[in-house]
Amino acid sequence: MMKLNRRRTLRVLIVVLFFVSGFFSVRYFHRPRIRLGEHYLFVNYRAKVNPKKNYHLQLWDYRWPGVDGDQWYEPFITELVKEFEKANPNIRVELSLLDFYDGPLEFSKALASGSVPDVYCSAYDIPEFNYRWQIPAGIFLKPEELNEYYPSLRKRLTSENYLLTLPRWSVPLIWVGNRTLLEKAGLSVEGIQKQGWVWGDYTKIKERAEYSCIGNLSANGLLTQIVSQKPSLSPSLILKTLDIFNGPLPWKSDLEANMIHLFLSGKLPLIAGVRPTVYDFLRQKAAASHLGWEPVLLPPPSEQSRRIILPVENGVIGIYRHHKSGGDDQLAAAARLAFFLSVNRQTHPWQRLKVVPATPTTAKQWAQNLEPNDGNRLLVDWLAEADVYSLRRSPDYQGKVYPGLKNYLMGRVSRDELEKIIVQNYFGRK
Amino acid sequence: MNLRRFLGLLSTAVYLLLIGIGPINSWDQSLLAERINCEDGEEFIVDGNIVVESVIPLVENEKIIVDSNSFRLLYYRDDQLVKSYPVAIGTPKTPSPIGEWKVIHKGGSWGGGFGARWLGINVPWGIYGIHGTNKPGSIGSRSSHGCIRMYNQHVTELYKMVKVGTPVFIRGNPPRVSLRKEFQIKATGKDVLLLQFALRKAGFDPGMADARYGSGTELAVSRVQAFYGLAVTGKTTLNEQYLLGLR
Repeated sequence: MMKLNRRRTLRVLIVVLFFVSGFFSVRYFHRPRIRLGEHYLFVNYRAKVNPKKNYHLQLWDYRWPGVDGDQWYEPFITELVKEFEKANPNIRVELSLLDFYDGPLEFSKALASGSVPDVYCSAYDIPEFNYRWQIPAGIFLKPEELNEYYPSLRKRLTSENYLLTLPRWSVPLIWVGNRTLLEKAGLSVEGIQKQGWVWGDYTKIKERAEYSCIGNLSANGLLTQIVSQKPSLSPSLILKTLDIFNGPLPWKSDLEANMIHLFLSGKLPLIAGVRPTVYDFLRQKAAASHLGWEPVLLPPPSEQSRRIILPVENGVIGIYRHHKSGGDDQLAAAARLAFFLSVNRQTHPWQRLKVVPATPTTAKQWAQNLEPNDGNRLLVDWLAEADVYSLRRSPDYQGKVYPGLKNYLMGRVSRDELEKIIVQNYFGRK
Repeated sequence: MNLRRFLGLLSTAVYLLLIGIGPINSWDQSLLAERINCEDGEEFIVDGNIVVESVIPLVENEKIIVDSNSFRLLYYRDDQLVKSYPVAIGTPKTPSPIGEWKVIHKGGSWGGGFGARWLGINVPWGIYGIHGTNKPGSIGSRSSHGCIRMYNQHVTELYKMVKVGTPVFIRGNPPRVSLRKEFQIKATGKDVLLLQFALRKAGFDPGMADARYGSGTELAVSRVQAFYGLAVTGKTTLNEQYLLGLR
């Protein structure tokens, strides 16, 4: 009798264990997840902020320089965070501002150790997606919220239908031209600004150039733009392209270091791939110095067809899971904060930094608030219509490719040597 | 020149040689043979090693501010004003070195035009200091050869309080000098000072504006380059000078 009872109990136990393990296995294998390439990210994209629960989010942003040490950005972002906390009383945000120069390194160290913030606002770059800690921010957003951003920017930040990071602002890398010299070469500035131009147009200026034709081959300059625009170009084709752009005279001196001086002296017709802050400086300087000619904003020339192409740098917002993350509802709370920051309607900080907000509505407002003769107004139209591509940087560009290129143009390095440098340092690491 | 003054100068020169940092060859040699506007009433040429950089740590809680407009020297400890003294500063032709320096030498009593005490500061283009005087009537005017001149009793009192390494901020109009086309680390001079002021004004703090292109200035220039999207080299070319409003 006893034996029978024991056996019976054992059977019951086995059956219970079977169901319990089955229940947990099913739960485990049917956990909400998303697939990104070869990776599965376990995240409940339906998670919502629980109004009865308190959340503590860490936000990392950047501290931007201000004239005479004016910490102008900190009050702005602090106020914005307070506004968010007021609208979401159960979410407390701890703000840390990184130095804009050292910050990216600090963030990459945080990624390595897992001590990342819940929300990270980048500066001028799109951090590579981190499969361990990062969650595509777009999964927590409604379609109408996603539609607030420029489609071209959304496209750049989307992978496998997931918006990885939320766009906050973008910096088109533009060309600056001397209107008088361009018009003397028979080019219509307004035509270029409206329809774009091709490399062939450039030769018209080159024929008339006194000294050399183009300044800036730096990290954001010509070479990076050419490669970013067409990653399939071989090193020899890149060199051929450089020859098109090179001036009529060999560059014996360091043209790069003198480009602003030469441009303002009216000797250099074009500067390639600079941030709008540089255009802004040139415009103001030209006006103050009564130069008698106008620096104009241009899109970069495209290879064949006349169209506006625009390499951009981006400020984006990413959300992260870390050691102290409470759960997926915390990610949803982080996404709320990220969305709030990315669509904020204030334009003055972005006017000061000369970066274009990521939503067309705010960008239009941004353009309206600029001075009437400020060419930066064009950026908004270009972003809406242009073929936008992100700048592709090589980690060794600054240290190896850039000096090699400079030495080649100054006649210190042969073509073969430069090709070798480009192959080793630009194409070596994809 | 009397024996006492000669010995004083000799001991200072030996001291400066001893605390000098590293080979002078690594710095701008053109600065070495220079007319020194240090001695009240006299000028002399130093053609040897001048201390252009110092390893003396900065005293954090003390500072001296010399306001060349009000002819006052203010001594602060823990951000509290401890003493304020009247001073004489350099003439328009031999101006006091505007900038952010530190006391590198407590030279005792040199006597003569230097008065009761000498506090040497690390100006890279000459020997400058805070000292007493044998012309008390000149205090409150622009009459020195660039040094900060004080009443003997005041400099003696200050001397007791001040430590080597105390920062000395001499405020006034920055020097008018033409800038060289390119600066890089280890450059010194008045134009470096202008660059440092311009960096600070634009929001890129180079640390002490001490006329030395050190790591702080190099980092600040790199930050300017990163902000404007230029190649980050840490060197100041014409581009950076334009963007900082120096040209």
